[in-house]
Amino acid sequence: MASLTGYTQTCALQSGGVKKLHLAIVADVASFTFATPDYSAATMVNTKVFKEYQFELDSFELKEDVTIENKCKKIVHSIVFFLAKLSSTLRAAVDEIATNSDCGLIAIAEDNNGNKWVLGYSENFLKVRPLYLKSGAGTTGKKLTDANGVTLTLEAEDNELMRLFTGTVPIT
Amino acid sequence: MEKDKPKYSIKPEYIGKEAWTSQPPYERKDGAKFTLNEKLSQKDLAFLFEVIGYEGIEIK
Repeated sequence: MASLTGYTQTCALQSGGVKKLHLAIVADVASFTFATPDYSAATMVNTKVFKEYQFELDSFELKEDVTIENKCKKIVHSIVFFLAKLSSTLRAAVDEIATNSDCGLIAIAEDNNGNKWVLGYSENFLKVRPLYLKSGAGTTGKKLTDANGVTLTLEAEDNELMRLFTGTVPIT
Repeated sequence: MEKDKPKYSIKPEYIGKEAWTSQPPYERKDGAKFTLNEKLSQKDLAFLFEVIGYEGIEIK
């Protein structure tokens, strides 16, 4: 039978925003180890790792929207961030994210409170509902002071809220 | 006197994969990265099983 346990607000300062993004293609991640309620380890296919994508400071937003329709729960996880200055290197970075969106991506995003969140992987669906590139909007801007770069939006639909990752991000 | 048998082992389907965990509370060359093969010590396997709750380790 369902019940409520309530929520106690803690008195602690906090910070908005995200400071680090790591992405891996679905095929490179074997699984995450679920240790209620978080993920305590990431298992990678031999020698595969996550790659860091640096972004413009304070441009990253991680959002999670829960909706209930027909007594069915849907959660949309999305990340939006800005990569500054159009260039061949940036073109290649955007292109590889787009190309690898065919089978999907898994992300670990570290917020400015030091919490690492897993996106594109869940206990209910494992790797079946990863992140996909939803849009990549590039612009030169118009004026000298306008932003020049690409805003990327990646999105995943699931029925589970995102979980914390307490392990070390697989990077090298 | 009979030597103690190893207590923990890697499930066959996990051999060759790499588990990345929190930093173990003891010194090891690879830190938080555990390549799942026969080179892992019983101490490593115990950490993965007992502390991390890693699903790729079993008790013999």
